[in-house]
Amino acid sequence: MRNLLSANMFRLRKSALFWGLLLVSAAFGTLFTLQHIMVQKQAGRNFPLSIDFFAYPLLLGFGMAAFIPLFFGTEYSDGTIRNKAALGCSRSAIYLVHLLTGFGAAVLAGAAYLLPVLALGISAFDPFPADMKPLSLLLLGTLALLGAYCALYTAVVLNCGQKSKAAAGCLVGLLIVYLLTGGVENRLMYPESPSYCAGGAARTVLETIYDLSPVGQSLQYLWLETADPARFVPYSLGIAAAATAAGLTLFRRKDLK
Amino acid sequence: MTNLMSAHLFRLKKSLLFWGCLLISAAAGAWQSVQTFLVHGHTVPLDSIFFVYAMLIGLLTAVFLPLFLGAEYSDGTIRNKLAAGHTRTGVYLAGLTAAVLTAFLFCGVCILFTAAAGVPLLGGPKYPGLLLKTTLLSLLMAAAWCALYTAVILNCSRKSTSVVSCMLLYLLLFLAATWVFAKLDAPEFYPAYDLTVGGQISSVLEANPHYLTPDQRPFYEFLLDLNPMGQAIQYIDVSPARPLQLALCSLGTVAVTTAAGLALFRRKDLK
Repeated sequence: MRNLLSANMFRLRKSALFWGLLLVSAAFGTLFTLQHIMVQKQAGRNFPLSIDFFAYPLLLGFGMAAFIPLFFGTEYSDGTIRNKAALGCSRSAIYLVHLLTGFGAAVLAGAAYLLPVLALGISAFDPFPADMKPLSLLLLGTLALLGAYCALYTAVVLNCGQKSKAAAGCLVGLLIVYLLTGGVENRLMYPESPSYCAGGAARTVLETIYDLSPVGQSLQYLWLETADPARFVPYSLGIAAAATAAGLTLFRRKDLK
Repeated sequence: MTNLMSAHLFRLKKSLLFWGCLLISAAAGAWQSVQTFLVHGHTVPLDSIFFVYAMLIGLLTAVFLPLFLGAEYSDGTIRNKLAAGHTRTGVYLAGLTAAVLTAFLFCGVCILFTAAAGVPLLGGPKYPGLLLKTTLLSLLMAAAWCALYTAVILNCSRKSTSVVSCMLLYLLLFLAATWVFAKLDAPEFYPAYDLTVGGQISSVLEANPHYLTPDQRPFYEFLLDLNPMGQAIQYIDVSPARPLQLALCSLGTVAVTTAAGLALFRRKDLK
């Protein structure tokens, strides 16, 4: 397993796509912070430093939907996966190493986003609050959410023999979830909407769907709407575990040709 | 070119993805009518939901065209076509024509099913002349999407990279259109609430500092019209404010992207 991981890390280091992902993340972090610094000046009041912190799960939801199929899909198109299996590596190990590599890349891209946010924002916005526990829990929650995104995309990519179809599947799947989550949000948040759901069992079901959806979680992190910072961690871990179990089961039966 | 086109049409007829996308278009059209009837009853006219396909077509073609036209690269068909004596210009224009035709078919099926389900449930259209004019404009917009994607696909040797590039281009234009539309739609004044000494809340109108001045508006309107997604947002309202500018922007996008895409494609090493 260590050999597989070091091979993936080597490929990651040499991949222009990976460095491009880091660059785009850092560019978005810089852009968002500069925009909020300008708005702060116009509004005449100070924003908290954490204002731009948690935009990265939504950004990387899309970023990883493009990165994981392109990076790992090559293993299929070049026959690397078949060679790894022929060399005696177990399918479970191959699958888990891919998942770990994808997650590592996502965490690094998240760090690339946060670095300029901190560097530019620390002198412009209000400092961190004295009690750092809620913020740390939120950060932990977003890491779990990145894990959920990566687990979902890895399950699609490693069970889809064609790189182009895997890429289309991940991006279209994310867009569909995004649109459905938008519909649920419309029914939960806007009383002026004709389909607004005021209460009862239907609202509880919609709220659960909104919390379970990775996009719903990303939006709530983005707007810092969650009262209990650790609320989504079990949901994210549950999604990651379910996607990995399903993906691994299918991958073990797959004909690698 | 006729041979190239008939080859494309034959592949189209045999493509499962094409029939799948056609099915999605039909389902989206029918569902929009049924859902509107279930939520609003007879109060909403057919006209106001007629252009659901304008929002859908950019996404459908972003998925379908790279997979369909991109296969020409991965299977080596493009090289074979050139070896058989077809010109690069012919290959490019045949690809673009097939793409536009496919987009029109997706739009047509969506319109057909919106009307088939909508006319019995919501009644006939109130302004057929206006609908026809906006439909023609929206078809030009669909052609602009196709020209953009064809330029990307035929200059990108890898199908997977084409898929990701087209989808990211769609997302980028979607975000840009939303941003420009929000700027144009911002109110000139907004209510500001203040707590008076007596404990009562008073409301006064304050000028919005982000409101676009009359000098700035034409530039942002042009940006919205130039972006196919910006056009789609306007077609949803049935009656776009600047029909001539919209048509010219679509035609301009088709001409410029095709010229640029063709110039690059003629120099491309097809290996």
